Formats: sequence, C-alpha cells, structure tokens
Amino acid sequence: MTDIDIRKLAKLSRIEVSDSEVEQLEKQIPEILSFVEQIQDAGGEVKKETGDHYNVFREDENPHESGVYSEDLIEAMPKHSEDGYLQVKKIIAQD
Amino acid sequence: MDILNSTIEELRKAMDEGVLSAVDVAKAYEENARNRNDEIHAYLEIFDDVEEQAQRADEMIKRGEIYPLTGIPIAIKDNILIKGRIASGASKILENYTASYDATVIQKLKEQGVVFIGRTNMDEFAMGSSTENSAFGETKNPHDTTRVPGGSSGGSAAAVSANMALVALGTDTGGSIRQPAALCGVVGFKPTYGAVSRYGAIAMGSSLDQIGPFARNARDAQMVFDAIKGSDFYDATSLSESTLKEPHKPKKIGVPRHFLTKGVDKEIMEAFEANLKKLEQNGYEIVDIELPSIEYALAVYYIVMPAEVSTNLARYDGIRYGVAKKGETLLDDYSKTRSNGFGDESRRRILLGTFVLSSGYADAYYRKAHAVRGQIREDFKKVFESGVDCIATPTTPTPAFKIGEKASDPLAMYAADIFTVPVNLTGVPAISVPMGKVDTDGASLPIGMQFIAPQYHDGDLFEMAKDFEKINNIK
Repeated sequence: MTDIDIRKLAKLSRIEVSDSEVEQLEKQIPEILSFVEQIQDAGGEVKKETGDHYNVFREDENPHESGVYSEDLIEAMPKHSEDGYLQVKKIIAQD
Repeated sequence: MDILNSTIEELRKAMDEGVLSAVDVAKAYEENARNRNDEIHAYLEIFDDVEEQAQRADEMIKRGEIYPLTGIPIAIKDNILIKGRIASGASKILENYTASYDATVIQKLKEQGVVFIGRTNMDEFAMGSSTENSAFGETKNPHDTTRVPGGSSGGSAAAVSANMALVALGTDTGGSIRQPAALCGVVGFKPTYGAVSRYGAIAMGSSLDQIGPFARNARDAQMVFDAIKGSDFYDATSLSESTLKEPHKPKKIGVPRHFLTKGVDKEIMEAFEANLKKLEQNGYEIVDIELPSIEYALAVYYIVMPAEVSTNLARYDGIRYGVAKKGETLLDDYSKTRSNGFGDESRRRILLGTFVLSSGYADAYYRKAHAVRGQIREDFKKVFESGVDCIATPTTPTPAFKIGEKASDPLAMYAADIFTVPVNLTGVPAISVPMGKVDTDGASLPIGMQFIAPQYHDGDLFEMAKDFEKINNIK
C-alpha cells in the first residue's frame, strides 16, 4: 500500500487538519486508494496527452460594456474598498 | 381538481382555460411544502415571494404569453444559481453567498414564467449519495423518514416525491439525479453530456456534471428537459440542439448481466427480471450484452472525480465571495477559511484528488484512469453499434438505507453509485423510472429501473420510459 503523507496533502490543498482527523484520514485515504488501484489490471494505453477534448476559443472581440457586472461581483466580496478594489492581506514582507 | 396530483399538461390546460390560476397552483404547493418541510427537510429555503412569482405568471397567461411551463411550480437544487438568492451548495463556505447572476437553465425557466418554490437540500457540493453530507442537516426519505432519500440531489427528489414541488432540477455527476429518484420513487433524467448548459451550476466534476430534471412521470421530465436544453455561449461544452437525435422508441434492450451479479439485493434483481419479462411480453427484444471494462467504472470514477473536485474547489478561498476567516497571513486566510468551511467528505475528496494528481502518482492514477475511461466508452459504443437501442440495469443495488448506516464508511457509500457512474464517465444519457417496491424491515421502499441510450439519443429514453409507465399502469 502506498505510504500517504496526509499533512503534506493537506498543506498542498490549503486545508488545516487536526491530529484526530489525520489519524482517521491515514486509514480512510489508503483504503480508498487500494480500492481504486484495481484499474492497474485494466487495459487501456496511458498517453502523455490526456485530452480528447480541446479548448474552444472565441475571437477576442465584442467585449461587453465595461463595468456592467462589476457592482454585482464586488458586492459578493467579503472585503472590498469603496472604489471597488478587492482587498487582501499584504503578501510581500518589508525588511 | 386535485392540484397536487396533476401533470404539467393537465395544469397547463386548467390554467389556460381559467379553471385554475397560477396562484392557486403555487399556493397549494407552497402550503404543502411548508407543512411537510419540518418532517422531510427537502428545502433549505422556501422562498417568500412564491405568490408574487405566480401572479406574474398569471399576468403572462392573461396576455396570452404562454409557454409549456408558465406557472409550473419547480424546486431548484442549491447548487444552481438564481440571481439575488442564496446558493450555498449546502456548504458552510458559501452559506452567505448570494448569486450574482442566473444560471442559463434558470434564465430559460424564468423566460417561461415558472414559479420557483425554493432551494433544495443536497450533499455538500453534490458530493455524496445520501444527502447526509449537507452542512445543514439531512433530508429524509418521504417513504420512510428513518431512511435517506439518496443523493446528492436528495432534497429535489424528496420534494417531488412528497408533492412539495411538481418538478425539480438536480445535478448528476455520478448518479446524483438517478439514484435519489430511484430511492424516492420518482423519475430522474441525466442528459447527454453537453445537452444542457452547466453555466451557473456550481462545478464539481466538470467532465461529468450535468443538470437534469426530476418529475413524477416521464412526460413531465421531458417537458422540463425541453425547456432547459440547448447550446450556450457561456458553456463551451454545450451542444447545439440539432445535435440531439429525433426520438425513436427503442426495440432491442441490452442487459449486462455479468455486471449485475455482485452486491445487488436479491429482491431488486427479482423485480428487475420481472420487469424485463413484462417488456418482452410487450414486444421488446431483450438480449445479453458484454461491457468488459465496466467493472472498473467505480474505481475510475473515484480517481477522475476527486481530481476534478480538488481543482474546482480550489476557488473557495474566502477572498472573492463566500465565508471568510482571517488568519495572520494571506495563506492563513485561505487555510482557515477552507478548514472551517468544508465538511468531511469534501476534505476527503480534495485530499484524494490532490494525491492522484500529484507528481509521481499522476501517471499511475489519473492518466491510467483516463485511459480506462476511454475503454469503457468504447465498450458502450460497440454495444450500441451492434444494434442495441438501449441498455437496462437496476438504478441502484439496494433500496434506501437507514440514516447513519453508511455515514462512516466512505467505500460502502460509494458502492451505491455502481450502476450510475458508468453513464457519466461515457457521457451518454440515462433515465431512472420507478419499477415497483420492495419490502424491507416493515417498510415498503421504491426502486428504480435505469435505461441508458447512446449519446444524443435523449429523446429515445423518454419514449422508452413513457411506454414502461404505460405497461406498468403508471399515470
């Protein structure tokens, strides 16, 4: 069975996990993985490219009128400034 | 007139002839929904403007601006956006989120003048098979309130089953419409992938998700599907309506008996075989078929789906919308918001998806699953090319289970979707129709028959289901 580092996965997923949750997940995730591992017995060639589907692009033209959706979207932000900017914590530290 | 037991077309006629108003219809449904919601908990919210919506429908009818669904009461799963109303996906992380726009299906229904009764309960972000993963309490099965209604669209299924809405919308990623439909004794339809726009449906597994209808009979389900289908500028995977084939009633039904041997209740198999016999007596040809790779479908699904889930749920960071929890740094804000907002099953699937996509494992899991998915699709194609018009299976391996019975065993819960996930993996359409009841522990519980058609043959399934209802004397 694959050795799973739950804390590392949680960190990658931006989720905090408690000790008791780690203990539970250390049991459950490998159980699920050992179930899905049966696909190794199936046929089907693994290709590097995974897509049968490709992005559909439209021409970059005819934009909607600027600002028509802004108010509705800004309204949904937990923290925004009066002039419509999304506010987040500082991410560059000062020395 | 018995409003709560009439079909769409019966109500249409009565409203158009002035025998009933849309307000009469809406009031009857709203009253029943309010009376029964404490017991069933099908709705997270029953809207307080039901009567006003119905008045607008009456005005449309008076003006002669009449569409097939004008004035028809409908329930909407809580992961489909209606502008100005909460859309929480039954998650704490979106409990305060008010939709900024209408989903395309909602816009289409609004144009027809439907009456939205409320938003229905579901497993958080549509992840589950029992509605127990809702952050706001479970829904109960109207046929036995100690049992689950199925999931993830359990609230929509229960609402239609208990006459708390005439019809409803749900979403189906691995069976989330068909499985609860079967467990609640109603019709549930999963369209061909792309037949209905996903714009404005909260994304779970984007290569699998489809919006579809619940109804008490196949004709009503078809009328809702007709109202919501079609291509959409905002969903690049949506298909133009002309892609869908003209409906033909199937003649030859394939049964993958090799796949129905393990883990299916004896009573369900007996009912299934008895129903096949009836179909045969009514002129259908029943043949055995082989789908060699289908046994891997559930395993493939539990790799592909969590991979897409972990990607789609990355957007919930408490910055742009939803509930925000504050920490020391921006990274802490993300982690605190997500830790506080996601329930157990969501966390499990996010971690699982992160693992199967991670460097060093993606080839063995995600890419391999993708390859096997291709094989399953080929199997279906071959069967349909051999002259089989549709495939029949039971919708679920068991009837509704007890609340709490499978809650702590993820793998046991996942097995509830064994017959429904292959349909999403291959993108074909499928319908679940009631096929009788089984007696379990003193309860009489509905079970469902699933018919699967080739891609774009959605119309055939309604012909099949309507004939199946006729054979079984269901209105």
